Amino acid sequence: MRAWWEANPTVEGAGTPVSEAFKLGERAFGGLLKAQKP
Amino acid sequence: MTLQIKTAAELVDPELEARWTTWRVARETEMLQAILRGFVERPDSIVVEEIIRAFPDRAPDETRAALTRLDEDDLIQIRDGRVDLAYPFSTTPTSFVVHLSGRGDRYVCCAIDALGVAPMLGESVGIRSRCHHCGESLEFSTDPLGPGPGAEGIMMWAGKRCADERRASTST
Repeated sequence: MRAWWEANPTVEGAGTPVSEAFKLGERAFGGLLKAQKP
Repeated sequence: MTLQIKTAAELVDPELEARWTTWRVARETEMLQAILRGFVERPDSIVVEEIIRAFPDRAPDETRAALTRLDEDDLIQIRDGRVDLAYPFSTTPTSFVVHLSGRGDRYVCCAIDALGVAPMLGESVGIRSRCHHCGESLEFSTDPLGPGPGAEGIMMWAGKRCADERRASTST
């Protein structure tokens, strides 16, 4: 990521480890279809 | 400027929090859940008429209006009479693939969407993508509790998007 960012230093945003990104995915979608699998 | 590394909590601002709350309420509606289940069970887009038939107690125009609202709220995308995107799933190829056991591969809209599928379904899934910088293949599994050991060392970039931008146009 550091190499990519050094090549694209003006891109707005931030890096995060996959373990932290998982928390965002869980928050957005967690449990939505869990009890409704056919 | 230095490269910023943030936690999940640091990435969530009040505006995003409010948007997520709205999305979450909409996603818990019967219609959007039916659409999401359709994308789980098969990789194809869903014909709007099929959704109308799935809700026989509602007038067709009422169902069409509800679908239009979901599209306007950027929760689904309707093109040519078919729902071809419902977050996290996309029927248009993206850089992010989730493998569902016994059901095959599904494209998803972004890395966060990919990571949300296991907790959404309550089952383990495989995730495939590529490094945006070098193109190296990335592959690991996640279960409902978190990413597997293959995800160690992998970083995700969380970019900013403009207020009037649809997620679908920026997340791949």
